[in-house]
Amino acid sequence: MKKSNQLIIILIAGGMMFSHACVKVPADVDFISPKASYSQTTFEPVLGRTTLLPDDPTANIFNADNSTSPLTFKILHMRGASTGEAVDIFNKTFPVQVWKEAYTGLETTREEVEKKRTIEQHHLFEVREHSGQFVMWRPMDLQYLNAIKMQPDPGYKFDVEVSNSGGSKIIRDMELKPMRPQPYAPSAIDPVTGNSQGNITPYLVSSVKVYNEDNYMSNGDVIVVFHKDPASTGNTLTFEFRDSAYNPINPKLFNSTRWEDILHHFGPARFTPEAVTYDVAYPIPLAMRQTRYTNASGTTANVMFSYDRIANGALRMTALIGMNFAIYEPGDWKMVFWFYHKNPDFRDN
Amino acid sequence: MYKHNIIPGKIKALVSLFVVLLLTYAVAAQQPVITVRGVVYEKGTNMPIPGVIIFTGKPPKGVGASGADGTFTVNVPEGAELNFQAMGFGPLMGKGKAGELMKVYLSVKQNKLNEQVVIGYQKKTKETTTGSTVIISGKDLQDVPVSNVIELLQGKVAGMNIQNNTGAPGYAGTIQMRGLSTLSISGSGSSSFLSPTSPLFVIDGVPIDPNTNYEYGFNQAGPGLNPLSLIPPEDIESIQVLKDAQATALYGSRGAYGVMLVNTKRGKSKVPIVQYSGNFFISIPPNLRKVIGGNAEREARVSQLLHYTDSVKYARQDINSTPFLADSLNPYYNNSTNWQGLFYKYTYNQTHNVTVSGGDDRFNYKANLGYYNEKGIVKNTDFNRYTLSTNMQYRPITRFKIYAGITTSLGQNSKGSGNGLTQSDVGKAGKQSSLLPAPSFYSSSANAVAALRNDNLNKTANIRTNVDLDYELIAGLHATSTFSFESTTGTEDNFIPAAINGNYAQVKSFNDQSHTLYSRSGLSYFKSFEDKHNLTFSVFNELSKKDYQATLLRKSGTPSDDVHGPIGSNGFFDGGGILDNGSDERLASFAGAASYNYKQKYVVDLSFRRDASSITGKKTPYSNNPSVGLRWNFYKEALLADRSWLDYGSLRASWGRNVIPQGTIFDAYGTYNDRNGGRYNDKPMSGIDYGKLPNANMKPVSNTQWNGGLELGLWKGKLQVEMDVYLKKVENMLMEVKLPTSSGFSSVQTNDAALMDAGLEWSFTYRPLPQTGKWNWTVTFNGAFNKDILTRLPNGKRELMVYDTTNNQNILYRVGRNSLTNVLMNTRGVYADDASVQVDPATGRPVLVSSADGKNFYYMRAGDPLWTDRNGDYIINGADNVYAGNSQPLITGGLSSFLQHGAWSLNIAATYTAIRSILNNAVQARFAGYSDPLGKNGPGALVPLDQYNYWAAQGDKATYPNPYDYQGFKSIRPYRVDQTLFEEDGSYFKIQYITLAYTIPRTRTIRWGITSCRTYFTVSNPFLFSRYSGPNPENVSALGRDQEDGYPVRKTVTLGLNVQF
Repeated sequence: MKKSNQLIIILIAGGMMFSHACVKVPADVDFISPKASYSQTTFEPVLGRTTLLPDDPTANIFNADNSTSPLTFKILHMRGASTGEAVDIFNKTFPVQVWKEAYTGLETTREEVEKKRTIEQHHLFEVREHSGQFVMWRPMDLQYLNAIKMQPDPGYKFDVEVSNSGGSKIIRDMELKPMRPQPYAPSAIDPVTGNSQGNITPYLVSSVKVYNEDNYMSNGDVIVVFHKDPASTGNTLTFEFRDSAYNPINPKLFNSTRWEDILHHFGPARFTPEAVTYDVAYPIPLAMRQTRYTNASGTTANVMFSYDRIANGALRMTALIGMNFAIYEPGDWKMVFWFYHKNPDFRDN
Repeated sequence: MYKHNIIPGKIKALVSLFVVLLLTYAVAAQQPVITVRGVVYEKGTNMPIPGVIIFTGKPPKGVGASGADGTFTVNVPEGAELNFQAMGFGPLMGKGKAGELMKVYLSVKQNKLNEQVVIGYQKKTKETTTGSTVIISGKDLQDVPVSNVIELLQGKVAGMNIQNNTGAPGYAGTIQMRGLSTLSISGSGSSSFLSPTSPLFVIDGVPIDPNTNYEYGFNQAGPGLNPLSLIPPEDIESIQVLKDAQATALYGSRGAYGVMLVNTKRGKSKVPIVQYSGNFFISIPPNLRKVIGGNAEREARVSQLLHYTDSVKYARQDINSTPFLADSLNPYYNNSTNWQGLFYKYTYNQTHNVTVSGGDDRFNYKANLGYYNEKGIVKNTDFNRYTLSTNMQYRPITRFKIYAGITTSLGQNSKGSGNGLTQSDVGKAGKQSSLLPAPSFYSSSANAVAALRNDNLNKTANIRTNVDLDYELIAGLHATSTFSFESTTGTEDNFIPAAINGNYAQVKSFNDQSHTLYSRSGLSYFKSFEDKHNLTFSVFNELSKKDYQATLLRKSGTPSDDVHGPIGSNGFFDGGGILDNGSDERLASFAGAASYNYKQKYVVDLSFRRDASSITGKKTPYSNNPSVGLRWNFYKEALLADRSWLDYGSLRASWGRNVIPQGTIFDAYGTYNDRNGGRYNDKPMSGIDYGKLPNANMKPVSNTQWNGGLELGLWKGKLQVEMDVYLKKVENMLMEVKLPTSSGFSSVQTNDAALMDAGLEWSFTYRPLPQTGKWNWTVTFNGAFNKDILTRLPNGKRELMVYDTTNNQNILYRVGRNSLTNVLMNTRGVYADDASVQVDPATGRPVLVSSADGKNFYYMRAGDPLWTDRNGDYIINGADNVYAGNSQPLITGGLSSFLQHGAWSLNIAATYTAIRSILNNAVQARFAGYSDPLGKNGPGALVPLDQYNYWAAQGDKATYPNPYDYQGFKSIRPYRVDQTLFEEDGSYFKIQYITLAYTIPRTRTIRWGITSCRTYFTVSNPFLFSRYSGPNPENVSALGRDQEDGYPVRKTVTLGLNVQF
């Protein structure tokens, strides 16, 4: 009996050795293409905002050239573009506000929104580990941004290491050229030079009759002014309407405006004869998703003011003023719609 | 002694009988002589054994032999011990008494080493073979009526993976010998299939390749019958399976996927024997899926619309504008039709088979007449087989032998409107809404009319003739020659009624012909020196020519549905001609083999075969097939000779290579066209087709195998073990490579893919009860573990994806892992509530799902599937696919038990397949039925979902996403098939059949002239154990896709009778 057991063991061991000797199994490793690369190598995020690069879900800036996914990305050697010296600020982490639960646009209190956000430590400029997307974070304390060189400075250069189990590859000399902070959009401040040029106007000014003229206003007849008291700490947004003499127009005159639906706000709108004020949460829009308060891509808030009047021939005419905007910093903001050289006509014919 | 003789053992025994009978005259009677009468039976089957020789006395003298019906009458001295001996049976001693019928039961000798095997057209005992082979007796294949004998071989041979994945009568499942041998995938969606790599079948010495013609029955005209469906199982004496390359190398190119030698019965009884076997069987369709019927269905739809449309007002408007839901009293919509019941049915079928055989070594003959009738469980499908085969052998002098056989068979089958393997019309019509009226003259479903009224008749006629000659020139030197001709004609006549073909009835007529001419001539020489050194040499050459051509005629617009002709009124509607799949192949080969053994203890085999094929590349016309085998029968060593517990024991090792031509002649030489009839200088132009670059270096697939084996017999037949380890490398596989446009051509077929299979096979036979007892019990357990690994891809690539354009169920080839990997979205559950939906921390938006074209994106919410965002971009798209399961099974095998007591026997056979991934498209389709409550795309059946754990309300921890959110089916596509939610473990354990047999005592039947009568009752496919949630884990394609329109596998209940006169 014993001998037979031994024999069987010897035979099995022999068989295994025999098979081992012949079997050369290639390693089960990933493929990484030498041609894998970024199709966009210069990034110009605006400071003071949390920016995802690219922010358009249809855009894909990394061509993996059939490399096995997921790849692992890593930023290496962040350096000044002009000096070539390593830059320390990008190696540090700062507290930033991140979402931990999805924003829906249905939140009814600011606390509910704040519960969905939290503070985490992040590098100011990061690459997402497996997707290759870049994120420029907005630090809670904007003072930190002062250390970052803005355009027209040539900015920074960095390398990205791409790897999977099949190997790694370094994509060199990618460029980061941050733009100066712009707390709101659209903005009349040139992002490179900081000079002011032109005016901000609504995207839609329709059927707004000019007072005492048989003409209608166009976009250029309304100027939008963004204003914040730098010392303010609140979370409000006030809309004001001003005539050409900069006298306030009672917002109630915009009688067909759906005041409770134009903006994601908390509590009722507060009217004064001069303005309407909302309690909001910043930034506006809160998240980059389409809601009833945003444009189609979810990148800006969309407000629409309107009033009805009886026009010639006893027709009802609805005047519309539509504005797409975004505000990135908290505070007590004010948006002034200034009919700067012609007054709107609210009277019936 | 080396058994190189060509005479079957039992015939040889008959020869001895005459010698013995002569001797009996010389026996002098000294003691009182009595007359003993009796019958010799085979233990287990209870069949009489003819030609058993009876010895008595010391030294033993022959006194008689049993006749054709197993009876004997001998005159022996009183009290003398009788010794019964027959080839293949263990000897038995017994004392006879005068005036009493003596019953003798001989057991089959339980020494597998004495089995006769054929390797490279040479007969040997298993003791001297170095390759891996298994013999299955024809007796194991008789008790279950099947259209194709392959169905019964499942689980009988370790390493031969048979999946009976279609229930269509006359068609066969897939056979894989020792794992995967191909990477070639065609088709898309549920009907994508793997190129079949069935073993070569050698029927009575004539090779028949089952891989041609029939698999193309998938998408093409023609009867599509598997050639093996034309062989009646009753006529099979034995099937021998050759597994490793040493055994198959001499079969050359066509033996690369293994070889199965099928031997039909021959005459072996001096007295003619007439055997009849018949079966009556009932085919039972599997359980049909439950559907919601009638008003319950309407209410389910209305309720779904009211609850899952964005606004109730909108939902009401939708319902009211859909007469199918709103107009509930309209007789057209007020039904509860059982659509599945229209197509599936119980059928009553029969088989009859008569064999007449007789003869001796000088002259023997056999004639077999068979009839098989099976009506498919899907209406309008059936299979009938008529066969007549005869063979005879004549040996005018001992040195010369001639054998001739003619086999004719006719298979007649109807495919309905499907293509044999799948029934898409039945699939579509069977899942219609129950609210629609059942078909009458008018039908709400064109598919139903197609399935029920399509008139389809196929005939496959096959004639196979062969002649073998064997002449012994000098002692030990044989010249042999085999010549065979086979012709197969297939016709298909199909009629589609006008109602389903745009008001034009259509007639289609297909016919094809294939011819195979085959010749093999050779010399073999055997010489033994001092009975120690045994040498065999053989050489042979083989020539074969095979051609195939098909034509098709199609005519639309016959006078009416009732008048299918005359044909030819208007050429505009006609189509037809010769199909472009004709082939003409030639193969010439030369082979030599040498074998040496020392006292049958140490065996060395060498063989070499060189093939020239007409379809390989111009620069690589030849392929070489060498092999080496070694064997050590260690139980013959002096050390082990006296161990009584060891019956036998040996070790085998072999290496060999089979080379198999691939592709078509056009891959090697290119195709030329006339440039659309263009002319240059008024001369017709011609030029090469830029689609495919010819590959003059095209090589055949090379299949190299190493094999190591162990055979053990222990404790006097109580336990027998056979184990094999192997490594199979398949190299130079064909793969299409896209070329850069600068080359001028778009693609080329290259030879740069390779894979390997490594495996372990085991086979145990255990007889727990003593052989002398009344009870007889044999348990066999066999199986194989096979792992395949892709080792090479063209241009040094590490990965290559085969994109599935229909279902997006892509398949990945990746070097270093299993060859065929499913590539799917990874489903980890369902978002229980809105708060648990993943969010992009930077943008605050929930995870997005990309539309199929990648242009639109949708937000995920509660009740949607939780797919892994593999690359962390918070967008679910193709980049998040994971490399999921393997469609090829890791472990396959079988288990059987045979229990016998006296005249009763109980036989149970089971088979198992373990660790295999199946894509459950069938269950997906059930959920997808809820995607269209308004029935805009033709209302489908609703399946009750009670048994599934699906998401219904916030907070539900579910497996399946919300099936009622029908709007999401268009955007999120939660029930897409390309996700791991529908990838399930396809392991199963199936009871193949249970047979209870009873042999009626001879005393009761002999007065009718019946020498043996056996009845049996068989249930096939009674139970299947699996965790798989779909209908049947075996009824899936070779790529592991559960097609919802596949032909279901039937259960049968059989009453059978074997009678011998």
